[in-house]
Amino acid sequence: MKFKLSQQWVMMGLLFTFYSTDSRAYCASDVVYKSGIEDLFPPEQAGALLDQESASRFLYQATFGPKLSEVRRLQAMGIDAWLAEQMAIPATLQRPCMEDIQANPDLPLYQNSRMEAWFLNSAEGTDQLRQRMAFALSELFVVSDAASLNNEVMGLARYYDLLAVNAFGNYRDLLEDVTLNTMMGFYLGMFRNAKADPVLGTQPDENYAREVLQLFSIGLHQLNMDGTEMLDVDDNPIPTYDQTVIEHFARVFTGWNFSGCAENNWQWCNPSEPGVEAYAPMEPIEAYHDTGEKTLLNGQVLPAGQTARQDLTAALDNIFNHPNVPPFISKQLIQRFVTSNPSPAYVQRVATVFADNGSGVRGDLNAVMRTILLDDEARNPAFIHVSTYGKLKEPLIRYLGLLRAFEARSRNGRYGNWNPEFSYLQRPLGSPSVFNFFSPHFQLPGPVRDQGLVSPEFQITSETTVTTVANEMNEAVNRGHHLYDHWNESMPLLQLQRELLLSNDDNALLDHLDLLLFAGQMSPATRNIAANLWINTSGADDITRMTSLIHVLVLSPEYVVQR
Amino acid sequence: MNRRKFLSSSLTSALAAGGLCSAGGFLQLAQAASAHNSSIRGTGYKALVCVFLDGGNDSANTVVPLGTSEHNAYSQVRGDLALDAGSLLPISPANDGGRSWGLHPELTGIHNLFSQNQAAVVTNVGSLAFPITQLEYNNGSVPVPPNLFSHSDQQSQWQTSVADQPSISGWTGRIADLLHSTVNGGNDLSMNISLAGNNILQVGELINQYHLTNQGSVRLNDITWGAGPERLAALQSLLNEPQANLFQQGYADIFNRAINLDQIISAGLEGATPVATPFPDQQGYNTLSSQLEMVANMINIQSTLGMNRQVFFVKLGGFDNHDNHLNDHAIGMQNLDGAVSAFYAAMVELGMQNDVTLFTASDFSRTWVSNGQGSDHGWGASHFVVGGDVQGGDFYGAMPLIEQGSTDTVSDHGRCIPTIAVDEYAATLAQWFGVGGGQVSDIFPNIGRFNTSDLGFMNLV
Repeated sequence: MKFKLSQQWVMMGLLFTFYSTDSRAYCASDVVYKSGIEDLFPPEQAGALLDQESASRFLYQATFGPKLSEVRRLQAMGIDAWLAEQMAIPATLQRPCMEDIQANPDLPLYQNSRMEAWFLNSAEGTDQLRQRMAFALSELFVVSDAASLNNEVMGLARYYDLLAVNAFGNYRDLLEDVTLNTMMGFYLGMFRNAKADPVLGTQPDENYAREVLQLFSIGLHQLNMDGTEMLDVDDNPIPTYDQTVIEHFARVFTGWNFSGCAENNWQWCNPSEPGVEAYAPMEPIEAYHDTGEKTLLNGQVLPAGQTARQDLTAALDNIFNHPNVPPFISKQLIQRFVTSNPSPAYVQRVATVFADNGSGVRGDLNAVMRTILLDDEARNPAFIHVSTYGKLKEPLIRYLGLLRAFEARSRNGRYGNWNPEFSYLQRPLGSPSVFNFFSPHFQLPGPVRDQGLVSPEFQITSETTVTTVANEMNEAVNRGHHLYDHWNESMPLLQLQRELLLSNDDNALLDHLDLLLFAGQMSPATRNIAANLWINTSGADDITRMTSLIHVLVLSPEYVVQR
Repeated sequence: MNRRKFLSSSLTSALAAGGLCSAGGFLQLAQAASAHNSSIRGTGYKALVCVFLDGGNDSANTVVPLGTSEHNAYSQVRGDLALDAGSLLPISPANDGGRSWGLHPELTGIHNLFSQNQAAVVTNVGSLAFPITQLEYNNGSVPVPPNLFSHSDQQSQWQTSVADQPSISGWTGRIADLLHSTVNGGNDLSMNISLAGNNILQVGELINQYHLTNQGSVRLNDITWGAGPERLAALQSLLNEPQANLFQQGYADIFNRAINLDQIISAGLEGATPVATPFPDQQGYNTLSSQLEMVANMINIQSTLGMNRQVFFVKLGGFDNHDNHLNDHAIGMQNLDGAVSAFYAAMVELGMQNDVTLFTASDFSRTWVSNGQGSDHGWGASHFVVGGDVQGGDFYGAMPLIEQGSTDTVSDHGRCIPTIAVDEYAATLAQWFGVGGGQVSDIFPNIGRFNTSDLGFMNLV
């Protein structure tokens, strides 16, 4: 039976491969519809290092969602080997997709293409952990096409690539690459930021100075290594900087322009000129750099007379060595991957590794991510039942989880979701402001707030947005499966032939969905409701029953919260 | 014991007393509401509409000095950001401080409303811990709000009206805690409705905000496809199942409210004739306009919904003009003006212009000094209040002197020190809305630090 289905899908695959050749210039999957799911029910290997539920749970934390084949592979190789493998895989980049499109004079390069590349790489990239980390970093070091960058397709794709490439490198390098990136330069005003001009009466732009401190590195208040705020004698938080420090950092960040600009062409230099680079790290023109003395964090003084690059290096070192950086960054990474309210001890364990990876290196993100994912608070299944544990999955991660669980493929290999923000309230590198889609401090009113907890993803969760997500999931499941003749060639279609094989065995079907969608955590109550739905729809055809069941399950409280 | 300690200790006791889902202080306030029924102002319908100008609106280019010498001083300070005197729309407030004033050239509709006494300007408002002078700011002798000039903090301080402490609730949220059970009969629909996502303004300790889109509530697509009714029934069973995990329960609560309230609101909107007043669209770019159009349509069905007092939150982005300032700010002013003018006209159409008051708010103003392409984060700002019950055509408060070496600013960049606290501005609106004089300090715990709880711009009967 399995064999027969596979044969059928190989034939279908040939058909659709033919179908899609004319749009191959776009970023399309290599594995488009070639064979359906090649190995429908890969068995557990003997001597597995991990039970299947733990493997699925880990993959929800560390990837865009488990596939059955990946659950089996992880079980066999174990988490340590899997992490080593993932961190060694080179980044799957968006840039080649953009270049493919640019190479074709008939194809315009719009942000739509960047969205397609994001979905393709996130859903299918073999570097899942790296892609997931790039997404997390894109929500920390925010640039956005929502405003002035709306025409910057290649620049934003390459910015995302920068995050993927640096995902397991050093935070200090990442901070510098982000600071000198032209997209960030345009977005937060460091590009062509000139020293004060007494004749024109201008002062340096403070935007990057403020946000690099508030959002990308240290935050507003002094922190203990466990991420809690230090308090003064009156129990008030202690500021990390004041307006004067901002003004001095703003003066540090002066004098930067496109790479390759002539000294005398500060204002009009642009990439249409030979040697001027749109996407290379910005370079200084010293005449526009403020060379006065500056006082930075913790009173560190940069002497007068330094070059723009000397000042920049010293200022980024000043930020990097602030004691807030390890807990500030570590806690937010834990929140993106594991749980919204890590215990102070968990934050401290990770922050300690951030401060020193054991070999005297500060900022080693490889070591930080290993520590986050291997920590007892991430791995121990006892936490699943703690009422304050876990996190609301981001809407895009819920959707990607669905696509991966059922190994969705579109007929032309593309991912045709150009405006995910309309339905999922998120658009990669497209948040409404530098404050991301949600704040790490957001508190859902009610018990979450009253217990002093945070719930970042709830900031984009409301009566309207739960419904728009539900309606999009309706489209993605009930019209988005392999037997539906969807009008959109680029619509990813869930491949449910495997699940249909289980139609006559309720228990096996629910076990299978429990593993893929709930990491084996489906409660008896949810299972009972699912079983009743299966029975109540027995008059309908199998695919209708199946998609109805999956749609309801991906809207359930147990699916949307990762524990 | 400071306020922070008070809140956390009352939280502990509230939880110890049986897991009440409130953080304490204002519980007493809500309980006191019934005892103070007689002090709820007015009996008819009233609505407040908060128009939040996201990112920090440049006040100095919104209401601009027009006298020759003052405009010259303004132009000198602002450099490339200065507006030409000839382009401004002159206004004649009684309280002009002996000076001449003009509105941004795009504010033609608000200019008309101001001239017809339907709009007022409240001057130099900002988040303050205490009244403060330049000298006190410089020598640090008077506390200022934490994290001044940060977007997220000043937005929160504007919306909580508790500028010196972290606050878990906003000022219209606390009003709902106080009044909703009485004036709206404890309607399942919140007093507070946001058309612009989550905000702290409308978070109460007991009553949270409800969300709408500019098209109304969102209907679950459940019936027409697949096993629709069975799916809906199963979904509702899942959402009604008690959840041990707090996030799962939080999600289920929101989803349940979404399903239940959509039925009421969609039916209400579908059963009514929409307001006829045209709202400007500019090809869909004026998101404020479509939000305010939906607010108008919701106000149109307030009696169907059984709502007697409502607060709406809407937002217009694009005011954080570090770059490309003159152009982007003009677009913001144009969108604000078109949307607000249409909204006032729609209220006239409904005969409810005296029952509805619209007011602006923003993170802060911007520096007077240019960074060469835009300007940076400032502090005190002028704001508009629009409605038939507004004592319009006038300025409330003093205008700063925009000039080099001004003593009205914290530094040479031109960050203007507010002379009116958000608390005073908000308390005036709250009292018009229905908060009795005896309860103003419950909603605005710091109001006693400032001059007045009634700036005089509303007609308080």
